Amino acid sequence: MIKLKSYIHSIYNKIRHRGEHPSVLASKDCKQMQEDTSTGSVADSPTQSSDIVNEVELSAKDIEQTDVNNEPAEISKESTNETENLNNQPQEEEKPEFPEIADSHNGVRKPAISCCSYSEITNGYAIGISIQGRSHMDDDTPCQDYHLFESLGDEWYLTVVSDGAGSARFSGRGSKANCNLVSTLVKQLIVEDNWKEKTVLPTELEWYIEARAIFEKMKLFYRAKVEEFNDGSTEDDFYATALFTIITPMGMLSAHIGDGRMGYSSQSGEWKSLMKPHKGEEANQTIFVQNNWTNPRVPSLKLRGVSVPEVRVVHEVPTAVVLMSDGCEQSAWECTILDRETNRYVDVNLPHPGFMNPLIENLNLDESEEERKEDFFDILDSGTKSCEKERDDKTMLLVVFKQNEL
Amino acid sequence: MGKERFRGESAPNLEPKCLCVLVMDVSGSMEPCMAELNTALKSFFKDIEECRGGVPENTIDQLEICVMAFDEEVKVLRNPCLLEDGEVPKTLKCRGSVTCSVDALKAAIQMVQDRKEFYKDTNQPYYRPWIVFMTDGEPYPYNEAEIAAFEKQVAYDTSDKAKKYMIMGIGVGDDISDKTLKRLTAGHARNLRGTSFGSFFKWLSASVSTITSSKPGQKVNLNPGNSEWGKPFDEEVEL
Repeated sequence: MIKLKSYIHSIYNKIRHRGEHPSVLASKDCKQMQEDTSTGSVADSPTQSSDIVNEVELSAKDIEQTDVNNEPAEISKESTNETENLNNQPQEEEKPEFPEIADSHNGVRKPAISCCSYSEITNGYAIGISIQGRSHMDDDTPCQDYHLFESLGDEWYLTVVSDGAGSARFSGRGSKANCNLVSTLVKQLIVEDNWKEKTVLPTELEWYIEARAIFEKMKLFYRAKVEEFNDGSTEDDFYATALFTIITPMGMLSAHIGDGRMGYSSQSGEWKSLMKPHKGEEANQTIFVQNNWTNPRVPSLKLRGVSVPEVRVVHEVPTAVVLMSDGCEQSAWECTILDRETNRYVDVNLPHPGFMNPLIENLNLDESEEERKEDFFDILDSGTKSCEKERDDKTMLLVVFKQNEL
Repeated sequence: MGKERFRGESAPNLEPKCLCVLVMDVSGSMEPCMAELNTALKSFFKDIEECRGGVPENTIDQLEICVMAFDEEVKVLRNPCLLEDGEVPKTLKCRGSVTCSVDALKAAIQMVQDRKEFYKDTNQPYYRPWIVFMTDGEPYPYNEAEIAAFEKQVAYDTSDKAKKYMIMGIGVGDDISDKTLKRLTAGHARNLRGTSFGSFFKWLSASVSTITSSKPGQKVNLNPGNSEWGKPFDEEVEL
């Protein structure tokens, strides 16, 4: 019979095995940033019990109450995000908001969908889905990704994807909050700076200043919130990436902190990238909005040569725009391709036409919203062997314009 | 419906690599359990190849196994690489009576460094490598100065500051003292229950899968706790 000490230890370890241990990614400075996005540890010191059963509410109401949006922007919202409100239940108790889909043919358990969106827009459609990863199915934890699409009026559109950190306690809510914060702040920027009345896009420097201000404001929001909660929770508990693109009739503005991918198809049908992901030395390292990337540094903070945040201004009207979490990149993006001349692997950093074009062709054939959503889910879940094998949460947000005739 | 008519293909991306270096004591005292160890090792290879016991399909494309055996010398029985189809590990055979544990661990660390350099040179993404050290006794001959110097090195290498690799020590047999094993593995040592090599390797394949499924920001917990195959050395058990 094992004594109480060992018993408690074993219970503790069971809990930790379920991925509920708080992240230890308290990055404090530039150099540490690359070090402290940890891969693994065999550390075995038990954490405080409050780490396991801490309840924090981070809701849409919280965002509205914060000073980021004192004067709500009057911009039409045509989003049909079916789960746009932040979940205000603790992540440990979160249940998928969509029922799990059981394959009627063979009874195979399918992943839950945590967020699904669809919008008909004047010249096309936008479709997005966030699917629970197979590793999360195994340990019965929800999808930690989130996405958002909004029509901002006058053929301006906002697309956002956020990927919650592995074992940060409330990363699922962090990713939702990131999407909603980006939405609030971008709309505020567009209205207060009269962007729609301007006939040209900002320069890359101007956009960098604004995008950085947006991310800084988001970071401040989390700091203020955890101080207000005063219950032991920290900003680390909400670690999540954020990538977004504003699509306008003049071109696109993109910005991001973290990994994932964004790209677009040009008028000539050529797929191009809108970002380079922030990655560390090891395969599962990145940076989050809540990390300490804001400290002034000389030289400025870069992860493997990519500025934090990174922005792009594209003076080209797309035929399609795609944003995805890293769970989709093995299938849909060219990231680690062998260059046979040099015998080295290269991050080509382009959407994979062999995946993206058939995907859009397929969706274009669908005749109803439901059919399109179902196909989108099926293809991302198991459309290729790589999709089937992927263990991570998958989010893809795709905007297709009608002139796209692939 | 759409899936059936979908003619897309995935990008031909390389999967990130995960290196696991097994450092096995084959000194004479391991002889009584060597048959079980070999059987368990074979089963481990098969589990990875055939995705048995919950091993995800992509592990075969990610896990590079290196096997090193040591007694009075260190021998590399398998250089780091993915498993071949139907590959069976070389049989471990007991040899001398000397146990050069520190030399073996130093060789494993060098192996890890070399492989990481290779990954970097070829631009291959990789997870943090893992060293598993299995022994049934103290280093022999015992050199305190050498052990003390190595203890410092491994503690630094595995610290949050360096994060060069992960390490785990597995003590075989009831008579093994935890003191030196913990020093050699930065405190990350477990006592194998009897000859539960099979259960250990099942846990190892599951843990490798956890690493290769880990997400950015995730601190992967590889602490087996009080498991079927092993127990902490300081566990108090009522007889």
